[in-house]
Amino acid sequence: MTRTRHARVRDIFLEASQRPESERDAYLEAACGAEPAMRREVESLLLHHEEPTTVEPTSRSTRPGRRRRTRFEAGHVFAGRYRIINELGRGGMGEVFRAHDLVLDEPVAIKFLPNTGRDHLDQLLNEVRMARQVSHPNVCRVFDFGEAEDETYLTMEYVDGENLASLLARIGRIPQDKLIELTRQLVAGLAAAHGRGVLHRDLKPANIMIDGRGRARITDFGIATSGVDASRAGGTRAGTPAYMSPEQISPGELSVQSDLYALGLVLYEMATGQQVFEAETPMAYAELHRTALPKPPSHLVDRLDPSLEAVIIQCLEKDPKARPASALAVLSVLPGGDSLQLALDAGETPSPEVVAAAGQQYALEPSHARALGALLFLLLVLVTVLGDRAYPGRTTWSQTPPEVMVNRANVILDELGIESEATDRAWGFVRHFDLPEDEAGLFWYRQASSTLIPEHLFAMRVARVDFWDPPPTERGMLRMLIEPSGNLNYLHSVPPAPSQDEASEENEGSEEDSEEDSEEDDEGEAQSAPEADANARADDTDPAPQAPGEPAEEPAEPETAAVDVPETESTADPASEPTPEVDWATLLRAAGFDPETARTAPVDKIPPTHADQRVAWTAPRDGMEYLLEAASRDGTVVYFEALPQNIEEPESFFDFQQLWLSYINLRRFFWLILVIAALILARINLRAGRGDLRGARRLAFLLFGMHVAVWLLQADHVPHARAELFLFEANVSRILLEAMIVWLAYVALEPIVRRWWPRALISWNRLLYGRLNDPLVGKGLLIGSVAGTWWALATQLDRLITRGLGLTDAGEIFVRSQLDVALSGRLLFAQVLDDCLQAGTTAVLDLFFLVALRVVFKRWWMAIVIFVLTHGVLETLEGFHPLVSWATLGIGITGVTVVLLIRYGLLAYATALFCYYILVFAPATLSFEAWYAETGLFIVLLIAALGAFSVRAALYGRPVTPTVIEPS
Amino acid sequence: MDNELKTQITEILNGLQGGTLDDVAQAEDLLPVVYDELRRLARAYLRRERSDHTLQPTALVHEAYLRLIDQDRLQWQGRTHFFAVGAQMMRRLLVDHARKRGRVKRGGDWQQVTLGHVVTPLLGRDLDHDELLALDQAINRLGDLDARQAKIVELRFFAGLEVAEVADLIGVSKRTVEGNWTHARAWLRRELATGGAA
Repeated sequence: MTRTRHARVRDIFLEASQRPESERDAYLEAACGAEPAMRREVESLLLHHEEPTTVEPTSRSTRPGRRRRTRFEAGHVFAGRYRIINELGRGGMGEVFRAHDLVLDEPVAIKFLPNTGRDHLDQLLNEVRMARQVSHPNVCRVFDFGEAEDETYLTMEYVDGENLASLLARIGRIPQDKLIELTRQLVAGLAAAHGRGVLHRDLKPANIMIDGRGRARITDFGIATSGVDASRAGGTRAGTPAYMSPEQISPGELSVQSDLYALGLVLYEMATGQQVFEAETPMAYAELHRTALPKPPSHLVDRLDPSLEAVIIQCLEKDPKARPASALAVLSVLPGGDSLQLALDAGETPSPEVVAAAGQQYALEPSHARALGALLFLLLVLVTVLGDRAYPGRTTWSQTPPEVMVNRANVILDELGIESEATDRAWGFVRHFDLPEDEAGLFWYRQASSTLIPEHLFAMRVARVDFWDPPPTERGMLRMLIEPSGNLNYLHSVPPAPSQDEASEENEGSEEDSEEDSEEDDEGEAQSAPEADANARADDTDPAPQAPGEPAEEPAEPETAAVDVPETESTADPASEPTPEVDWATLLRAAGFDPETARTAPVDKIPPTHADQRVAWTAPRDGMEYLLEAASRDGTVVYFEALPQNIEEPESFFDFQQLWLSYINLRRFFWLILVIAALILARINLRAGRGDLRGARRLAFLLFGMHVAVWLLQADHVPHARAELFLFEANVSRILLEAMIVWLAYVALEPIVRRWWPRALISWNRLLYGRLNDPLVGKGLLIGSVAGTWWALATQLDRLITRGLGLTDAGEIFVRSQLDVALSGRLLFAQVLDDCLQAGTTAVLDLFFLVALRVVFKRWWMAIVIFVLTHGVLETLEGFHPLVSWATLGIGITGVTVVLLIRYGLLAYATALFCYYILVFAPATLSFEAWYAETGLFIVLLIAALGAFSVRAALYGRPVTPTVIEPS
Repeated sequence: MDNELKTQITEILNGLQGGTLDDVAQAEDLLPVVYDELRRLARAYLRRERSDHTLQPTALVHEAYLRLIDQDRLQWQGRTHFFAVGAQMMRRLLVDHARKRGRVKRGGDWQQVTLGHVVTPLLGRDLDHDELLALDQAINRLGDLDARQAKIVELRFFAGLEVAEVADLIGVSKRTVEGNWTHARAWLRRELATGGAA
């Protein structure tokens, strides 16, 4: 053949190949009619010509002219055991024959390598090792490995079907319903492999066998390496160019996501019948895989499931990080199927997305949802009906709203001739210090001639003005306690600054012993406010109170005075002008005592402020004997206190207070350890990429925002820019720290929960990821609100039962809080938010605690027993009587807690806590004339609304759609 | 790869700027360096990757390119020049190894690295050593008939150059390259199928 002839043949060949087959004959006839040899030459070339579009090598076995001689003839018995039936194809690594295993009487597939040698042996062994690690119905099983007849071979499961490549070539594309089914199988197989740390790395239609019943199997783990090996080897370039991920082409870390890319290519081809990219050379493929954007599958076919399309496109992201987190994440967005179960079966810790997207089969039956809704309604009615009986102390106040009490306070002050001009006032409810069993408590009122600024900034609570804070150390400050009946119970007044003519005295020395706080003031001990008004308070810190030229009112020496003074007596210097007479009778009447029956008594109590006159009586009231102490200065009452006598200390089963304090201390210690442990764990988790960063971030932000809102609503804000800024800074730093600790704890411990009890997180994660209208979220909220309302009712029953049995009942805290909540709408909203916060935090920590017990004790039942015991004790501590409370609260609440956590998850538990907290604070009542009735009603309706919403969500919530996995 | 050598190679390639294909083929300074690097890469590649013996010549050439060339300083045409050299050397390397492999008895000196299988877009699958040698001879025969066509095949097969790049390098139209390429594939396939008998 000459060069010119070669060129002519080429031209004719090219021309002929451009023409449709029907015209070729005519063309060839015309072009080389005279030269039959040339025509034969062109025809032989045409026989080996292939269309550019089918250059891809997947279905090579179907092409003519390629077939080499087969290694074995049919009927040959190989290795004395396998009767060769026919050649199935030539895979990436060798020829595959169908054979019959004469020993086991089973069909098998045998794969031979075309060349043997040390390398191939290693390769084959590797294949066996890889493939045998994976046992899954959707992964082709590998049986054995051997050498015989100069051949190295591998036997594996014979799949009676065809590979996906030829199936697609035959039928075009896979129909919709079959598509989802096959996809699920492929992903499940892949997930099983990934679960064993095995990457396939050459996933393509030719490596997927579909058997006669439509079951898919992934074959040919021939070039798969385990994840560890792959990372050690650096960027390797095994694979088939058309199905290689961008990072597989250029040196990059291969990961699960590389297989997911190939999966995306395969799914795309299954769905559309077309390859994502088509090119002639590996380089061209590489370029396309690196840079080209795939055409959305829905542009090629109609009625493609949108979630499937979304996930295909996400799989085809160039950036591995943008692809689904795992094969299971792909599965989770497909209609139906429980990816969580698959993950657990595979021994894998499911990702937060998989947990959030777990199957719908956990949703509530419609009839159950409605029944629970009705139950919630019933419980709420009971809570409301029993409210007044359970909290009789509350009803004492029902006809005296705070305005009335404030008015009463001013009337008393007027009667006593105390100046009641004030620039700032505050009031609220407080427990009765001397009568711990007194359910009703007291009303506190305080006023000051300057703004009241709380000093208790760094306590783990919102800074609010209360009876103790700020301590009444400044001139013009006054505080008092009033009983529900309107009787004065306590008065402590620091007289305002003296008028101009008395100013000289003022400058010369301290005249009030402000350090001498009353006994109740312990809690209020704090450094003086940094922004304290300098000119008014200069004398407070004066180191030399004993200035020369002591004024007339020399401070009394309290100790000696208390011991020696027998009755009403002036402690003033005899040289001074006579002290004005004080109208003690008015004071006694304001406190509800008859001056006639009062008998003077030895002065005992040290007045909390400077006084020049002190007095004490004993007097009866309502069949009880009281010790009354009072003091005055310049003829004005500065101190009064009514102390009930002969109070029997309520007998306690054990020392609750002590136990409670040790528990608090223990908890602080536990917290410290927890934070340190969380630091370490979080670091480990972050390194291993395990922590749910997104969830932790959302939770922390949520808590932070809510904390700030609570602070804005609940704290007392002051009209001083500097002071307010200081309060803001102090609170934000506290809140920030809390949010950070929660973040830390979540990153550290959530993966453990996810590992051991992922079901607890399903609805929680969904809510955290912003899916409100969701059947499972609805279920969690509904069950939680029923349980929480039950707890609130149980608390009421506990009170009713203990009282009915005549047992001691020291519970005042609810009454006070209930009335406080009703003080203003601002406080009510703050309470709702705060309860939400507390419920969330407590629930998360409790779950961590339970799962930690499970990890430590290795058995669920042990973890549960210990949890119930410890948790039950804690609950009992908050109850009113050890035994009864144990029964009603300890076991009742804790038992339900465990059931909630384990059976219904974190969200249900958090909701239950929220409902419990807020209902316990709710002054729910049927006597609508009470001033707090609206607040109670509001809270009950709030829970009812939550219940209604959750029933609706549980019934009609939109099923899970791939909101997590969305194409950008 | 030390930087001096890198600079040197880059300079040589820049010096070939505007040169013909023959000039490139004659760049004696360049050939041994590229050959050695390719061989080194191939060995390293196969050694560390025991389970994976499918070799892609184009990938190797690309890797050699990345390692040998100071890309900031190389002018545009230098890139195609390099691949021309790379393709030539890759082909030679593969053939050398296939021959060597043929001499080594099975189970003999197993440390002798073989290049395993080679993926080419010609058959779209792995070639074993015999096939590789047959392919090499077929390309030689094609070169006897049309040297330019054989060069096109070499550039496309072993360096993975795009049609446009090949056209640029040997100074013909893209259409010509495409036609030659299509024909050459059919021709080589036939040669391989019939063992060159036709």
